[in-house]
Amino acid sequence: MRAPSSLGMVEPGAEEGRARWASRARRVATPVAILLLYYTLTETRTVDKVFFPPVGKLWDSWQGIWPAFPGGLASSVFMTLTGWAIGTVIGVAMGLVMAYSRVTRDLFGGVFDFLRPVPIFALIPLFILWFGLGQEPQIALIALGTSTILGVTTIEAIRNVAAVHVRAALTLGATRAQVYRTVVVPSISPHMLGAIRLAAAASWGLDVAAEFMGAQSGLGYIMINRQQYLDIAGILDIVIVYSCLAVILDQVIQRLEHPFTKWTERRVQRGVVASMIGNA
Amino acid sequence: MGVDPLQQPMGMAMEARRPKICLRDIDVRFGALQVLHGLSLDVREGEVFAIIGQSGCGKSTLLNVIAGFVVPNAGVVTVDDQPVVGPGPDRVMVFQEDAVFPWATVRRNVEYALRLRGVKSEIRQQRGDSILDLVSLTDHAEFWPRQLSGGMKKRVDLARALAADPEVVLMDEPYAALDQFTKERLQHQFLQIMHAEKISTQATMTAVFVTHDIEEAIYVGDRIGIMTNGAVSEIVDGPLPHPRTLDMKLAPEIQALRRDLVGRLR
Repeated sequence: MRAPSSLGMVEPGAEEGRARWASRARRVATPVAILLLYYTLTETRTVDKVFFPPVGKLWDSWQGIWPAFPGGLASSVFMTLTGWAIGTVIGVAMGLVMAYSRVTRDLFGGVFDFLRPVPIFALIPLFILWFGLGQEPQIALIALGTSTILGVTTIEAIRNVAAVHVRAALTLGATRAQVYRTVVVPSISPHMLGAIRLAAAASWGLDVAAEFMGAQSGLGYIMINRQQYLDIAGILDIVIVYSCLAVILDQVIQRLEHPFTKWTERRVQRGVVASMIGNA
Repeated sequence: MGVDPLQQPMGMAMEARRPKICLRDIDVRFGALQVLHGLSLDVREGEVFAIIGQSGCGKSTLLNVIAGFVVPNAGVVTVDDQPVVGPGPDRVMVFQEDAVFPWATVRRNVEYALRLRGVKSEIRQQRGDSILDLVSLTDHAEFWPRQLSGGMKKRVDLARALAADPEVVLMDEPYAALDQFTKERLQHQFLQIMHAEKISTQATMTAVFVTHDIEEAIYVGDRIGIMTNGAVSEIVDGPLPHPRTLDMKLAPEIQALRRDLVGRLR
């Protein structure tokens, strides 16, 4: 028998379909409303047009940015994704090492806890002196910021692995390594994917900050350039691009995470309390 | 009807076989608390040994010692004369809490031990099928644990334990959280499984069944051990013949035995 998608007593059917469309409509409505609001306020000169450029000006500035855009986009996307990927791997690895045993936790935990709260942005000048100008310091920065988020979450997630699951694996014949692979990793996946999304969003911000301090190319570099010409519309254009990139990456992660998390209770789809009432 | 744990009951034709599980003078302390105190016990191969006792008497700790999760402060525990050094699939434990892996389907849960050993997928599938059939979960093989009731999850738990091909099955109050009806069905199914030849490549399986439900102990047990003061103080022979049916629990002699045992626990 194929598993039902929900364990409801009442046939979901039409109700479920309507709810889904309503949800979609609401999700689109808010951004559209904000855009309409912006458009109205700027066209009617309700707001100062220097600080809030009308849509037409946004387009004009975009034309100016366009020649540098592909290179800048490629540069920023490359640095952000590389830094995020490296940081994720390092962060998760550090978390796994520190959670492995008391020995490792004692050896590495102290240093980790000490370095973690250091503000990342304060390290930018240091990184530039160490790595020179170019992409390396920026990637390093993004990796560092990402790894602290992932490291902390990994440790917390491993702490929350249910003892009974570990004991069940052991009594069924699992070695320590097998317990890690077959119990710990699936157990922590839902927590980790939340952290990965958070880190992804943060890495775009880290990229901007890093580029402000000495990039020779990239979207943030374009932003600095536009700032020097007081081209607010141009800055806003780049902000919009960054937002789109963040949304795209987030959506990609969500799509990819589905096979790893479809076994969890679907609490967040409807809201924590609402999902406890009514059919699944 | 009490019997010294180490003596053979008289008048029964017992083969002179070494016991499957052997505990001698086991002491277990958790900090200042002495949980097991000079406990000695022989469990015979092929029997279901039920253990009853008040909450906190150390029944679960005893099981954990056999399973290898708790190392005794003193004493020796052996299975087939081999000392117990840690948990392993020869002595599988079925826990009181829900231990089914929520990230795997029923089938993947049941086949877990086989996957760990690298059993070829054809054989693994066959064994999985036959065990699912044994616990009547064939139709639910592709379900996720979150879609199952408590009783169904317990069946998955037991099926998963059996698939590991254990010599000893350790049941730690497995049905405590279930309703009376489901509990009795599962007790009956447990007995059927223990007597089914085909599921295990072992000649016979031995079981130690810890419970606080005295009727349950009488129903599943071939012998019933009573724990008081951190040791097995008495062993009573299970009165019911095989095969058993649930209505046998209502017989007056059984109810009298139950009252008797309740009295001894105090």
